[in-house]
Amino acid sequence: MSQLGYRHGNTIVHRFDVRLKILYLAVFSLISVHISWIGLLVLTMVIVAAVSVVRLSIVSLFRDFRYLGVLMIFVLAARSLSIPDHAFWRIDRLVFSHSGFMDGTIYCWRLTLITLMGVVMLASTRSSEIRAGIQWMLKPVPFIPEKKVGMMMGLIVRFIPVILNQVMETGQALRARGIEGRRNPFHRMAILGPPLLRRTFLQADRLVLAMEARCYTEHRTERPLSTTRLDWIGLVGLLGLSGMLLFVA
Amino acid sequence: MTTNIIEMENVSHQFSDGTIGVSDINLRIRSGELVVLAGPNGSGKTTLLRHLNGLLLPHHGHVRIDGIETGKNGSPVRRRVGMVFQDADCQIVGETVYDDIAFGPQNLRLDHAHITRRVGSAIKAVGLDHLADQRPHLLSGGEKRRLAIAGVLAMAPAVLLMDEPFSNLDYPGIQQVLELIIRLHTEGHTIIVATHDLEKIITHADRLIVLADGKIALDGLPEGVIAEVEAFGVRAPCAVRFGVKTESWLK
Amino acid sequence: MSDTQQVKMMVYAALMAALTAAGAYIAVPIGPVPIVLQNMFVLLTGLLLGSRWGLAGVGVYLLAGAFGLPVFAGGTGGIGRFFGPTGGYLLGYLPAVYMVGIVSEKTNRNAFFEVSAMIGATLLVYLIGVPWLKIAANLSWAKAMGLGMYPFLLGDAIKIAAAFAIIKAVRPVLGGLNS
Repeated sequence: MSQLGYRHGNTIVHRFDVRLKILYLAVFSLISVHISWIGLLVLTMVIVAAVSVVRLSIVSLFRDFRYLGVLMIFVLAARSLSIPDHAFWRIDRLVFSHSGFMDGTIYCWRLTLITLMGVVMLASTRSSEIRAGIQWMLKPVPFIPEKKVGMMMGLIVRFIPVILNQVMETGQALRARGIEGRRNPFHRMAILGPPLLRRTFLQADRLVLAMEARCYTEHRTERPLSTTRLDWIGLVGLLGLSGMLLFVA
Repeated sequence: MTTNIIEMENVSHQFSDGTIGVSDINLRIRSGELVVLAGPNGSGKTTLLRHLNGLLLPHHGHVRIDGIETGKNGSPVRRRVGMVFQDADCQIVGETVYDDIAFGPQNLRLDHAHITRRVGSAIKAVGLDHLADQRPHLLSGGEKRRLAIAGVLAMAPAVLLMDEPFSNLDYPGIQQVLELIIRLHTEGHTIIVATHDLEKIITHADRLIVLADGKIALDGLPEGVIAEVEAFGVRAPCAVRFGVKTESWLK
Repeated sequence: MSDTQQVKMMVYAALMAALTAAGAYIAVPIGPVPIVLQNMFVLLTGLLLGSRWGLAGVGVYLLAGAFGLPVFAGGTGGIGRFFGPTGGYLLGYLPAVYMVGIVSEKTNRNAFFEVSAMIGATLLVYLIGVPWLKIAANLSWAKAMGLGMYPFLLGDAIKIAAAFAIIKAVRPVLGGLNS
């Protein structure tokens, strides 16, 4: 089973206010760029602790992130192998560079940590909460209608699986009528595109009606965000930890 | 004496491409009735329903809900008249079951505690309380339809409009939705079910209205008019064809 | 623009963004390499919704992904996507959709300009994506282009042609849009 997505629970990570979690994510992501391996080690311990608190299984996480793994192996290889000339297919003249390898390792490490933080965030926070948090942060930003943004984010999250399903269906319908025989990729795209767009817009029209039938307005009750003492302790912890990490670096 | 919660007076509506949606509809529906609105595709069922919550406005005539005329400001009418659309997938807005049910009450700008209560009772009413955190696309067809109904119930409407509530459902799904409709009816909701398929609901209906070409062709007690429906492109339930009494789909 | 029209455009933008997200899963084989249709849907978003709503749709999609909402292919969401070697391509979608939208609006949907804008927008994505890849993976320019651009150019040309054919087919059906 995939480890991605919200998992119900009442752990300390779950109970943190979403804004604090976003802040953690942002600060740790930025700090991770400026620290070397000692700092990363400390950060890793904090994040692994969070992963185990929300009871995610590291093993299945690895399975969920195969794609990322491939990407990282590529980056690691590209960084650690320096080539005397620019023709990169001349494999027999590859030179393994120690500093490049270290450099690549740190980059991949950092990327893994940032991704893991995203997973913890997603697992411990309902997406409507994340949305409320984003909306709160966008409020002071000029020219951004945060309520519309929030509503759109909700609709995107809701409709990706619906549309994906339709994509599958349309694809199967076309295969049933022998699109495989059409080698030309242009034809395939030109045949697949219009029904998908038509369905999407039809669906949007119906959705607008349904939203109006349920009295949709931009001035609606928002999900309340509340901070507890726990959040302030968490904030102090974040400040202390990041200060220490930057000092060591 | 019960009052007429819905009144339509000489209502006509023509679409911009010239086709007639409904014409000269006069209709009074009493509070608490369970009405089946039948007719073949294109007979004007959906158009009629959409007039009842102000999604469409009449070109001629008047529509009044609980004495309030549908018009520019849709909200007072729409909070009294909830609409369950044919395509459940296109009316589920929230990322989770809970969020979707909360969508309507949030739009009514209720306070948070009130919303929590409303969602709580609506989710129980349709029996989805164990799935509150589920993402809607993982629900079965019957569960999706019940979620759509819950989303409307949370707005506490007096009238429920349902457009083809049984389409694309398997037998258990049909039973779940049917049971829910009957329960809501006994709790006092006025319910209008638009369908071209009488079989599943007619035993439980108080009244049957058949539309043809945008006009009311038949209107009466189900047992009184059901023998005539086939003249207007609606299939009579099998039992009627064989001359026996119709039976509930719940048995 | 009336309230209903606003809601309508907002929903269109959100659902086009959802389709764009789904586009990352749709692979069409061109010779031995499968290519995904995500950037084609970005171009189509610009053509169908115009600069403002196109930008809104793509922008909100990326923002949602950055904050960890599950919108990116493979579920690997979060800010990590942007820090990764392919983050530049995602950011490049923003100017791309805006460019296609604005050209389409300003030239009254002139076919020649729309196709030119799509070519320009596609190059714009590489203009941001390739340097990003070069820095993230520490590659030389030649390698960054060899890995992150040249192999996809043929596919992009086909996608632009297909986008043009698709837009011709759907615009008459989606009549009321942009009005």
